[in-house]
Amino acid sequence: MAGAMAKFIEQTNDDLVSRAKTQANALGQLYEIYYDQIFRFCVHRLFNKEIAEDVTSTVFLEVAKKINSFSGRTEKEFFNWLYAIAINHVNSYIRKTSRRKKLLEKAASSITNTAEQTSEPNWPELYKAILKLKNEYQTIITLRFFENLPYEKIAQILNMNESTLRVMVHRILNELRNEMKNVFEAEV
Amino acid sequence: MFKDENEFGKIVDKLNIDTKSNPAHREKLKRQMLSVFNETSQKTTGNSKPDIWRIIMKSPITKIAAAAVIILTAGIFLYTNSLVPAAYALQDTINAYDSISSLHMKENIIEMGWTKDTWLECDMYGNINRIRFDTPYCGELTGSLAIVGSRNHGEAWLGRHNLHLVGYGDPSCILGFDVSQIAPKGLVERLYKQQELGEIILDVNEPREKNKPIVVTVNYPEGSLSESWKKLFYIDQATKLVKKIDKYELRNEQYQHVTTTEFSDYNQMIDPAMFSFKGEIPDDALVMDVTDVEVGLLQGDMTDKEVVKEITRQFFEATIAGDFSRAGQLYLGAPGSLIEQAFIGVIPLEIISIGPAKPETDPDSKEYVCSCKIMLKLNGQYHELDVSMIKVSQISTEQEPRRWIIIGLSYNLNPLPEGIKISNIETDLDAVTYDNPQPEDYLKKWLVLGPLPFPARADLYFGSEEGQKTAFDTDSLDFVNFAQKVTIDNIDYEWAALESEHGIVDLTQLSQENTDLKITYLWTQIDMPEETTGTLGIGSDDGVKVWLNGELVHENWLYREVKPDDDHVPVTFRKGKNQLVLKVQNALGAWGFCCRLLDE
Repeated sequence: MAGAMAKFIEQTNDDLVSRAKTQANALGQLYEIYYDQIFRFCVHRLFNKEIAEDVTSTVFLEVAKKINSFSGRTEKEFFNWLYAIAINHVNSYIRKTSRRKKLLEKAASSITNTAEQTSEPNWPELYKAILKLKNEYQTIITLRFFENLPYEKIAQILNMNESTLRVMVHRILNELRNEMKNVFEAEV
Repeated sequence: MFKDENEFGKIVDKLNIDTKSNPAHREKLKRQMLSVFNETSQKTTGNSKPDIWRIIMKSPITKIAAAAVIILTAGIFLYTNSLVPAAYALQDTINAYDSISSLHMKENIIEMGWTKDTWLECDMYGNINRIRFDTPYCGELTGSLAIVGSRNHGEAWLGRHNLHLVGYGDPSCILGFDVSQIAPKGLVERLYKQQELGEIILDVNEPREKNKPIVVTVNYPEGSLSESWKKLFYIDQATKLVKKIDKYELRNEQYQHVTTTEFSDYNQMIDPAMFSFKGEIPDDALVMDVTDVEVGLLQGDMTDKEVVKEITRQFFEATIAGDFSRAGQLYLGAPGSLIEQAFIGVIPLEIISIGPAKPETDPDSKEYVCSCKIMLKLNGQYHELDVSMIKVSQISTEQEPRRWIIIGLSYNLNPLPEGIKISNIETDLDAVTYDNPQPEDYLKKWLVLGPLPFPARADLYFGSEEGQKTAFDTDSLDFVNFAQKVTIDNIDYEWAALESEHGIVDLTQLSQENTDLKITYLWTQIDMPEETTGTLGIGSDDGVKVWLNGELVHENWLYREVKPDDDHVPVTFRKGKNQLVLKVQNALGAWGFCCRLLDE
């Protein structure tokens, strides 16, 4: 029964995606479903709620402009498309050097670090290390560890093989570990 | 720090980042979004431009909310404007590539007069999802080469060899470079980063005429590795996409045009058949599956320069050992038969020297070049193969840590320079004494007696096989007590000192005369700090006998080429001085031997 119910729900949202191409209320419903998720993703990538709101705005405005030419029909396809737009806008924002510095400064002051053990890296250090990664790697780290998305979904969003993704996560963590070691050593 | 994924997850969880959204923003944006949606829908259905004001005011929202929308709109307008620079910036081109999913690249190698075609399908990061690469010529050994592949799958077609290779992982393995680096988005992103780091000097020329391309000139600072290179990016003003890249290198104080790469067919549908060899390869082609072949050499803890020298060493060691499969793994993952073909008629014998390894100066290259000298035998003569350039490239597959492969080499074949020195001055055993010799080091200092004729026998033709065997079996020396002068068959001989540059000692250099059907004895002294058991590795052309402290410990009667360590001879050295004597007998042509202690 559970399976049947899940299928039913899925079908309902697929229908929503089809209708959202022409009906404002359907698009409004999709917005309600995904606003928090996209906003959260933006906060996790940009670490400033003000900036995250701006970027979330550009994401949904682009969705509004392009939904009628969106070729997907299922909620899964919509989800992947929505994330792809969000990833592009976030990356585009971060690329500006001055903004990156600004982000670092703001991140250092605005986010509360509640890590209990002092041996663990504090937030600005971790964020500094994350910002040194390639944009693609930053996205993967965010989706996997901050958004807690399963590998399968991340692989779909990024259009890559799941096993490749797993290996990449392993490599990214290695890189991150080295980066953080450098940050520590530089500061010592 | 963190050890694995779980621990990293826990650190992130503890950060407890506030991601709670602001309901006011949520509401405002929704209205704004729906307005834009309505506007876009009406535009696409051919209706007149909607009156946004009217839509907002018709909805059951208070005037205060409407005012908030206006403020937000102004905010977004400003924000959006801030993303659009007044003049061209690399960022524009990077952004333009976000919407590019396919393209065709044609690289013209000006000097060689041949081209490489590449068709790409990319994802939103500019990463390559599918690729096809075609070139009519890829070096003397390979000939024409076509590759099709995706991120995890690659296959190659070598027309000249009628060979179809399947089961490659990332096509990087076959191409010898990281394919993710060749898509133009990646190229421009790299320029962007290099500019940030001050690694390049950019000059942007944006002409007033909109039909002319923006030209981005990339120079490399003086003293940098690529200082002699210059690149010109031609960027279409309308689309901000790269149309062409010209590369120049400063040679003899003049910039020479090296390559031109043209980019075309942006977002043109590429026939999926292009990414497959289906129907293209003859039915009788030899198909080789290389799925289980471990391509290249893992870097491990080695530095880049160390790994480049190591892969060079391993490649030539494999060819010396006749292990062409292993050599092929290191050389582009090629089948052993291809490497074997390249060595037909040539017998590689010994690595004379390796290195140094240097990074390529070409700014787009991740390659290293290394040099190497090999001793080999060709037409019965010893030669020196001077491999002036071995190109080694790092391949970054997503599945594995860093690996390196050899992607090409160029060489000259020279006669072997005089490899041995003969002296009649210091001919006592002290001059050829090894003090506790290290395993793997060839013994290159000997006292030599010869070339000697075969012992005289009236009843036997000395050149016959029986004559040669008899000569091999006949010895009249005292192998324990060294004497400077000896008499054999009533003729007096004296030992001379021999020192060889190479591990393989070329005995034909002992005499200007023909050295067919000759014998020589070689004597060395090994001083051991204590009794030591070990193994001697011996190669010889042809038959060989070995005495240690007067006892015959090895003999091998045969015709063969010198190959290091063909014979493994277990020995026990006593404490103090040991007398090691070899007899090497030649039939026809090349004549030589090598001897060392092995680490076993």
